[in-house]
Amino acid sequence: MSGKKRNWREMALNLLRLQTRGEILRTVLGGLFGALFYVALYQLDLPSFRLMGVITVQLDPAILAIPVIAAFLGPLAGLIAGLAGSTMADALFTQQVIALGLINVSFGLLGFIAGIPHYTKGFSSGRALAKVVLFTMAGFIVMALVYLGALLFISHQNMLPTLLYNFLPFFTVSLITLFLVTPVAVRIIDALANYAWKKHP
Amino acid sequence: MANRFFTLISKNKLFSLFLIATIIVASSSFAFAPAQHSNPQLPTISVAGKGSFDLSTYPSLDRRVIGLINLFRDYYKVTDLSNASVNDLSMLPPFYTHYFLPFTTYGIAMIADSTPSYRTDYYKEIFHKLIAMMNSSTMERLEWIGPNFTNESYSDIGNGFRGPTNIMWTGHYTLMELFYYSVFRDGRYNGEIQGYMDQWNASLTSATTWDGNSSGGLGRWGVGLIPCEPYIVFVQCNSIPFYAMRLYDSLHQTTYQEASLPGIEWWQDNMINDRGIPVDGYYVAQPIERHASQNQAQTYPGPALTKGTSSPKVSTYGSAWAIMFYNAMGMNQLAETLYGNWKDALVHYSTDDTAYVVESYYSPSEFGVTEYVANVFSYFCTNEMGDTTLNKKLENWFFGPFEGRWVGDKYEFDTSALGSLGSFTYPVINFAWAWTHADSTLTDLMSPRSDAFFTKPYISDQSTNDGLFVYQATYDESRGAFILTVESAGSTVLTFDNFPGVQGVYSTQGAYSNWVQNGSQMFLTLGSGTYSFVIA
Repeated sequence: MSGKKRNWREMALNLLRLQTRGEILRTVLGGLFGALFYVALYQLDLPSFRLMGVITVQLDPAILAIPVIAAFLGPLAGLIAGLAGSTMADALFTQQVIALGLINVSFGLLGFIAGIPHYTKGFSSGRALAKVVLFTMAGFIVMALVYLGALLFISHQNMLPTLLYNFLPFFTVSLITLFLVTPVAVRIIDALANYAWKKHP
Repeated sequence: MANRFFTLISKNKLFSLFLIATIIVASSSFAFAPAQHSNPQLPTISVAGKGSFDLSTYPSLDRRVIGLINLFRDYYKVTDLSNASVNDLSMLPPFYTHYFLPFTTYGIAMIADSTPSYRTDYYKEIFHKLIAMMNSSTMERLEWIGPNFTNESYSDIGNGFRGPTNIMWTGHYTLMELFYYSVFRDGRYNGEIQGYMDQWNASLTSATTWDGNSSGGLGRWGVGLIPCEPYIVFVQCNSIPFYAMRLYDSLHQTTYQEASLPGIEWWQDNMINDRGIPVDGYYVAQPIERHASQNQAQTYPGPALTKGTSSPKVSTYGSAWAIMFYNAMGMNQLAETLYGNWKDALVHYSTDDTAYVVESYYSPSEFGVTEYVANVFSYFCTNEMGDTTLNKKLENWFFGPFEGRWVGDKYEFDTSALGSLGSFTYPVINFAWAWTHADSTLTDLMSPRSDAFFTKPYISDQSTNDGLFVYQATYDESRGAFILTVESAGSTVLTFDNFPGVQGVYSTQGAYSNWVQNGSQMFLTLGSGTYSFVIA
């Protein structure tokens, strides 16, 4: 019984990357670093254009910080990056908490789910990158559902303005960015890190 | 080394695929993003003997505001001012045309007031057209004959669309004309303005009510307010003539505003609901059938009730409109209190940086034309109240789905995302942005410039409007200098009147020589480019 308990505990610590003191430090600080990155990029507004009137084509570098940190440092770091990053950005730029903070939680969930796989062999294989895309998208779907649900059912927003004015632009921009750029960013950062530490690719 | 890095990057196919896709999307978002033009930098210009002029301290217009004016100049297709038609605005639902015309005029007054010494047909023509449209028989049909308001009669007062029983039309029409006088000091409408001032004054100071009782100092309708639909008075509709009376008083040193004081007291005592917001209408007598059928429980005298409830009606747009006009009249404390209540009751924070309003908290799930109107008025009201945070959130939300773009020298927000609703919202959404980005407010317009200012130098004509952007045109009376920032697409001649003995046209690069003096007129010739000048 106690052995099984311990097993669960170890699995959890393994998943969250909290097994050693060094790993705890790396996870927490890495998560906070991701949060700071999110805040720093939050107000960067890249050019955009409209496709068929409603789809906004634009890249949003801020949101990338969340799955990228998660891919390298695991789910807890991703959760911290998303939750703390979006909360800090709100506190700094908008002074507004929506739906009891559930919107911020949805950003945390994106990071958590994107960070579930452990890429022990790095990101040089196509297989690893495909996994990055898969888990980022899974995180994004959960995030989008929580985001929309919180707006409609927790803060009781009006349906048409929520969908047309709020959710749709957020959804299209985030989807394009997360799907396309996450693997590219992860791979480049990985390669740069390897190069810096003089590892062979 | 770079080679090795390249191999490392290109080694896997999936990565290459995503990289290429990212590059395509990123570059297309740069390539297809609509071109924007930045506003000119406003420099400091030194003039020998007069010191230096920091142009950024003078009012200036955003290029997009002028681009939107260019859009609207062509949008009103009135050719015969004596027989105007609102058919060209037929995409607006009839109910809102009589808001759209006056509120557009108020916005254009604020925009024209931002370049107060640029007084050519460029702005004046729009006023002439809007005023003519407001006075058209089409308007009368939409607003008075259509809803059957013609059947009512108030003993000897009679009943008429342009008469003392319709403050909605007379109030707006007079204020449109009065702004024209105030901004351009052109007296062509003064006779009509005077007539309506006297008409309101008679209504508000009458010792007997329309049905022959003592008015108790509250005028013909016994409440200090004037109706616009039969037997119902609104706080917002009466805010327009009350504002106009004050503006008229400061232009002509009269005391018309005194007649408004009992009514302002009265509605604060009788027309505020349990959440501290002005209610949407008060019946002073038995409602006509059209009104009574909206709520079987309706009693009179008493506040208009929300459909299906016994609670007084609230209107986000109506109360936003009233609040901003009371604030602009200088009743800031009253306006601030109402504004706080209004925000608490009606604003929805959609996300951390967006917000919107619904028209009534009794029907929070509706969203249609009325809700657009509510959001536009809220956008104006937050701007007038100086609440930049909420104004920005409403703007982020409201303009979110619409792409702003340049088409030649016109600017527009594309509202096609709204489908069929887009044709109604197009003029409203486009105009709303221009109004909110003028460098003047209703409060500013309440303190008109002195008559003396209109004897000072001003631009009276331009050789072309095409590609001409007048960002700044202010005569600084105290320093005796004309401040001008202008963009011209080709060769343009600006005519200045009241400007004898010009010493020179100065820019940051020294004196500009392409101008001639002719008596009290001065002609300035511009080539293609953007110029900032101090002319003294």
